[in-house]
Amino acid sequence: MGVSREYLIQRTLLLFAVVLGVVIIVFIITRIIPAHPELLWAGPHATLKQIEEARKELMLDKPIYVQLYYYLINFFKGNWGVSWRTHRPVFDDIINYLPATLELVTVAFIIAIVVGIPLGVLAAIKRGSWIDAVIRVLSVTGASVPVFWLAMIAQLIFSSKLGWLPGFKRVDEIVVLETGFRKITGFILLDSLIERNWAVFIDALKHIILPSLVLSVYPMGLSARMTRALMIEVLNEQHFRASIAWGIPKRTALFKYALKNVIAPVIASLGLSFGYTLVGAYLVELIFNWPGLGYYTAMALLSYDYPAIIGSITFVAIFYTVINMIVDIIHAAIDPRVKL
Amino acid sequence: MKHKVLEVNDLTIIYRTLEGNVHAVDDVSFSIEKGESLCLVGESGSGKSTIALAIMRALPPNAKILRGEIILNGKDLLRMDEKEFSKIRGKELSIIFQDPAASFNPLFTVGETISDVLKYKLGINDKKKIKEIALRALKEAGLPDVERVYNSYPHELSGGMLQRASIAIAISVNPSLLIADEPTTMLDVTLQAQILETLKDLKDRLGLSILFVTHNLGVAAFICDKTLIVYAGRALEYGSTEEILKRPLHPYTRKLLKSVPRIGAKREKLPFIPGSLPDLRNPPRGCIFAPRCEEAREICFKVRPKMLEYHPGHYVACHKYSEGNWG
Ligand SMILES: Nc1ncnc2c1ncn2[C@@H]1O[C@H](COP(=O)(O)OP(=O)(O)OP(=O)(O)O)[C@@H](O)[C@H]1O
Ligand SMILES: [Mg+2]
Repeated sequence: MGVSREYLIQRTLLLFAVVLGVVIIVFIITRIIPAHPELLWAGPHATLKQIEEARKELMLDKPIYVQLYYYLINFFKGNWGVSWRTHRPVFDDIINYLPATLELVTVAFIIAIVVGIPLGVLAAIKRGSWIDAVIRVLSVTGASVPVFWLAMIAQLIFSSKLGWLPGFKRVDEIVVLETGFRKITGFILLDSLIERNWAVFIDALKHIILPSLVLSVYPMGLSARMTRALMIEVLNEQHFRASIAWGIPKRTALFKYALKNVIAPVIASLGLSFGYTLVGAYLVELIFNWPGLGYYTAMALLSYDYPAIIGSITFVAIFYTVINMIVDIIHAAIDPRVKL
Repeated sequence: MKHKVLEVNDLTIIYRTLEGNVHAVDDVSFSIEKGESLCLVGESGSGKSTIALAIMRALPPNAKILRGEIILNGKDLLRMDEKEFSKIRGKELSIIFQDPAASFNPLFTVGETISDVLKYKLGINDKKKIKEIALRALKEAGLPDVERVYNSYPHELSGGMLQRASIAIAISVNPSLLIADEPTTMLDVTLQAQILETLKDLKDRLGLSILFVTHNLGVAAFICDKTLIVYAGRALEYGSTEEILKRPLHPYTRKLLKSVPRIGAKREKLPFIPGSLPDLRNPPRGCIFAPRCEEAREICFKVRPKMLEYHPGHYVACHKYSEGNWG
């Protein structure tokens, strides 16, 4: 595997261009919307004079390009502004809310890969059988059901009606308080493992099951479908038939040789679908009251919190670009023909 | 009598398609003795690969073997369950393919592939021992710098080197029969000759039995003791290669001989004979070659000629050679 300096430079430039583009677009859009964020900044009982001062403070009286100029300068210095709603630095807010989202998305992707890829392989091997038919129907359905609908249904059935699993929040606060759980990284599952706080770990696990399962449905369907299609292709390749003819047992030929040809492209397509999954995560977070970035962004949107809106959207863009860079690197690690 | 490694009797295979059944192989018989090589010669579409795949039990799912036996070392491969055959596949029976570049999984080094074959087929688990055997086989197949080849990915090696690597895989298990389906057609001419040279050398030294598929009688002349001429799924002539080249009997063989491309000639063209293969979904009633045969008479279009021994050990299926038919 080789990652060349050209690749890193090229990707860094791309990242820079993406960020610049996203910031400008989102900035202009937020300023065009006729809202009065100075009212929010000044608070509910502000006088006219205070509101006027707030306008000045937020530089809303300046032309839009001046605002953009100052915003960009500060942005690249790491100062993403102060949230008009929480009155805390946007960057800190994002870092604060990020682990909840990352944890949710990571668990969802793990479920999607661990279940989706074997299902795809099974469908390919049993091509044309009823097993194949069932898996295909499920994967197409999974990739087309709206995630917010699924989230609400899952919550309604498994939490409200049956009461099997909690339907809100990441963890039960009482458990946290009783066991003296402290935050280390912000990933509750990880932190509770580090602290060997099993009560919190199990409680957090219970909380994450429903939302992560709901969120995993789309990437699971996608990876099952992709795996099936690619696997069928590989099974028809000369090299697969050669490996069988040369006497490599079918199981090894399938799960060691053929599967490796499938993994890289499936991961690549999951990477590309990451943006979509993140949108799904936002909706799931809202419905499950999951205190992550989606929740934060939604609150920002509802309260015209410009710096928070721009900050969180730009963050997602950066995130997306980095994820795809990682996908490239994984691809290069699997496929010796790919040089980055 | 010598020990027969392979005996194919009355093999008949069809492919089921939406447009009807393709009669790809019809009543073909031949045999290979220990240390002997036999060439299946015929133009494209004559069913050579179908025969080879049937022996490997690797026919596509739409193929169906209607009749016949394939007997390897006394056991009928067609009446064996999958478990029993999986012991034979890649051990008593190995194969090299036409396209060496496509025969290797691009994500694994040549060494990984060959090691896995050895691990499962020879039942060796000692990594060092496996590598030793693998390197020896690679050397045997005429590769220089075997250590580098062992550690290379397929895309880092040339077609010729990969074909030698697949020869190494095939011979490393000491097969009773090696099947080679046009192993040199995809290579450029100088390489072709070298690879043939290597195969011939291995055959002589290791006493390999080989089933060689080619559409080039020149190749057959170089490497094969016996030749079976197939056309549109049927065997037309069978005998020692020398005899067939010296005294070709069937009109089709004669045509083939006239259009033999030499090994090492600039480009290997398909033999040119006017007309084309008959529609295998609806083969003609009499002799399959009659529509293209200049010497064909009435009987050729009506009655299918039988394989007859014209000279000792030299068989031909043509009415010309059966008494009374040719007046
Ligand atoms: N999977 C298949 N389905 C239907 N027909 C097939 C299939 N495979 C081969 N055939 C047909 O069977 C006949 C014999 O094919 P085969 O590949 O055995 O010929 P061949 O002598 O090996 O030709 P070539 O020299 O081109 O490799 C051809 O008419 C071919 O079109
Ligand atoms: Mg062929």
